[in-house]
Amino acid sequence: MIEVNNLVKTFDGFRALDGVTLKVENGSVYGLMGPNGAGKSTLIRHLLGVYRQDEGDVVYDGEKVWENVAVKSRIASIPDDWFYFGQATVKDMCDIYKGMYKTFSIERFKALKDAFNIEENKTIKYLSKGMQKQVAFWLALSTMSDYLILDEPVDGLDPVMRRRVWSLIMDDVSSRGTTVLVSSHNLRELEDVCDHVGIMNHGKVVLERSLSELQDNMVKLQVVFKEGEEEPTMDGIEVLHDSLTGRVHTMIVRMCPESAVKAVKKYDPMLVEAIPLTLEEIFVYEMGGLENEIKNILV
Amino acid sequence: MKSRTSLFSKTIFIKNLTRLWPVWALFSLGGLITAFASHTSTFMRQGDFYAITYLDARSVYYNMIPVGIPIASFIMSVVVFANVFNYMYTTRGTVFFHSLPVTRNALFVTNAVSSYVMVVIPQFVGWFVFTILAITKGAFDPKGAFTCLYAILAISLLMSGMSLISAQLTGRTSSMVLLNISSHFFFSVTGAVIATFYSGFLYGIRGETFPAFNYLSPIVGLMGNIKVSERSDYAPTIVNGETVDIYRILDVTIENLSLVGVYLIVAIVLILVSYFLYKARSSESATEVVAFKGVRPILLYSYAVVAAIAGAIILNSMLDYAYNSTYSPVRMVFFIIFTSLIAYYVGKMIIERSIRVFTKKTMPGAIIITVLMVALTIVLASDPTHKVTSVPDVEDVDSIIIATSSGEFFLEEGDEELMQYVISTQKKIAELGDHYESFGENNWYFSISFYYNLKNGKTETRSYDMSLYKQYLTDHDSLESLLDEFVNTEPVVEKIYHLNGNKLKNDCLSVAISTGSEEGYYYGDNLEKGDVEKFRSALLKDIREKKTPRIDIFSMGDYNEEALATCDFMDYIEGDGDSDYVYTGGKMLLNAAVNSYRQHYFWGRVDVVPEMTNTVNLLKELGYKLPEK
Repeated sequence: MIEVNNLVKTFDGFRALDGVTLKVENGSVYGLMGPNGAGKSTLIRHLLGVYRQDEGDVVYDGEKVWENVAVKSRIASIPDDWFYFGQATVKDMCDIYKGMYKTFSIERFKALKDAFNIEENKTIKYLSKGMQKQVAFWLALSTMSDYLILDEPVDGLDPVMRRRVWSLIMDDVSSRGTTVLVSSHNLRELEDVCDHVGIMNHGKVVLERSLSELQDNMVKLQVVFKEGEEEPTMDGIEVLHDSLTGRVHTMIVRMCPESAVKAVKKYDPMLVEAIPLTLEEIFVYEMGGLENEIKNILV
Repeated sequence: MKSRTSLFSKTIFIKNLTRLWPVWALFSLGGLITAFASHTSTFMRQGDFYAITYLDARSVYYNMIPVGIPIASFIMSVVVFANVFNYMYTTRGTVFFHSLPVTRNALFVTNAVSSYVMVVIPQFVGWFVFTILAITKGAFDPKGAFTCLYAILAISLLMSGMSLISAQLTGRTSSMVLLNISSHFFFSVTGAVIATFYSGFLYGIRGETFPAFNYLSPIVGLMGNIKVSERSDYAPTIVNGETVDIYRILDVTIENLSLVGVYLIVAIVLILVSYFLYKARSSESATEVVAFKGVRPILLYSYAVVAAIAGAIILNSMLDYAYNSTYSPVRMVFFIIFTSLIAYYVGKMIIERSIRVFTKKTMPGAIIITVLMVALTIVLASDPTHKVTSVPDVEDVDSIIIATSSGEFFLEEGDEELMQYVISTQKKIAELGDHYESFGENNWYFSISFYYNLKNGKTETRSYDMSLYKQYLTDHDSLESLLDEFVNTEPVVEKIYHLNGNKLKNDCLSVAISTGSEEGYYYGDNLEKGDVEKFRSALLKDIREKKTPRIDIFSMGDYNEEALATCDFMDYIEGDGDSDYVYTGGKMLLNAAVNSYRQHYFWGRVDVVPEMTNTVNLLKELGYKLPEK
């Protein structure tokens, strides 16, 4: 488990991280979201043991990451701007990863060659940005690490490759229990893969929830009451939003879908139908007081 | 989960060496070429009929130490360390390396060791190849070989230490390279700039240096202080049935090799400091010009002070239309304010990476440096130690060289009375002050230098450039009358012509006969040794019979229309050194000459005018056809 406790980092008087606290359970995929400048990359560099915090802790399974080779050898990362040596080929970088990570699997590396379809002897700097990113994934996944820390990982990849990369990552999560922390400023990007999300803004985690928790506790209902009857007050149902188009009410209700339908049916409507909410809608209605933060990640 | 840490990463070590192989391979090739060239030149000098000895090999090994090794390791260290530590200067580089499962300790050690190895490899290749060649020629010299190897390892470590500390202090490749290169010369340049500035205010003080500053600049320190000397002769050798004189090295010695040991200790200190800096260095300092905030003001003020002084000197030389030989304090205060502000704000712009530095926040720094520099200028201009008018006591003086535009003369033991006169004359010149103005129709340029070789081994130099006016010649208190009296005082005249019992030995005396017209002279042969003595006797007789014309301070060194002949003479004193000789136009200080060279040469000249009947008759006796005037 990754635990970040009250992490503080200040750059020239600017508090880039202002008491960040979060937990990532083993085998889960944690989506870290937030607008540009929220502190996501700074947090990730602390998670990788690159930056030293002013206050707080970053621990993996109870072990601090700072200058801890044993912990770091279990973490593979893909930063937003991946480093490679100027004249290095894929093979050269593979040699470095192989030398640095004891868990590096050359069989996996060879197996993934088909997925990425890039020649090993290609000089990386001559590859397109998207292909360079693919090489980064190729090598990171070949390390067979317990933790994958990804900073804006699929930027630059085409839709097909994005799907393929996420498929490979999710295979690792399901087969090996890999723990993934992935940052993005785009909520729609992550809603299909994350089981936990955290939203950062101004150096703080302003919201942290499990996706199932969010989805199980909120539902969109479309309800039509019988003509001529007085519309009920819906006592006992927390309605976050209600809009009327013709005779169709569209309600956002804080309840699990089954309970919500059951509760509405008590009022004998002509029609009641539960529609799943998108992650975007959940955040909009869940975070009434955090509208600005949500707006930024929904853009 | 117990973390196992290692101080070395084999993967990174191999990666560094393999990715930078073209650099060290090319330099190794250079090392090979150098080794072959050194050997070949030695071989060719001896000729293919004469086998080289271990002393020839030792000469090559030793001669690599003061120049070849420092320069090679300096260039290699700049190139290699900038490449290996380049990752620290980009965010992507630091994120990559510092997220790898390797400690900062191991990263530092591995990168430092691999860089050092790459600095050493090319030199080692050169050393190895030369050693093999020496062995095959039967000229292997273990002492020279191991001394040279020790120097390669130690000097390379010093250069590596300096590169390492530059790498830690900076956050950009460009600033790392600049700091690395400049640190090798910074103190030497600082010493020279301060000495120039300091002596610029002091009339007569020139060439003041601060030797200690040179030791702080390793390349200058090594090149200037480690000296290799060879003792040699020409041995008669029978080659193909004929006796030929063959150049033969009898001994090769190296002085101040202990300096390499001192620098080795410095290198270890630098590396240790660099290690702690690396550990303290934050990854987020990548892209900063100076990585540590605390170091920024030190570098800013150090470089700004030197730049301000150098700028003021340059500005003065550009704008000083009067060509004064000493600085005008008022003008220099104005210049130093101007250059201090420029140096400070340019430095600030570089460090802050912004042109928006003219803020209230930076104002105190600008004021501090300006006030300090103005204060320094005023203090130096006021000559607090009274160096301008101070003269040595005659009891402390071992010898004096006096140089004018028409030659040099030399006072030594036994000349104490004349020395006192010279010292008091020099003091009066200093008290009369700067007399250097633009050269014009009514004034004449005159220069005189006094080189005092003191008994304590030190030297003092006073050099005066001045403008003389003929109208002041009759004024008893004037500089003109003082100099006129000085150069025409009989004992001084005799010294000017290298006469009167001093220890100078004649090397040659050449006679140039006037053509009798403005076309000038044609040159005769050098006089034979015996004729030189006759010439000296005749000249001395002319002086004592007052037949030599008064020496004209307004035309010393100029073409003399009255002269029937001009005689140039070169005399020397014996030194204790091994080197053959030195002649540096009077600028060579005698103590150094005596210690390092066999001979130190002095040049002089006499214009033979018709009134000098003794000399004229001698020249005629010797067969010279003098023109009728």
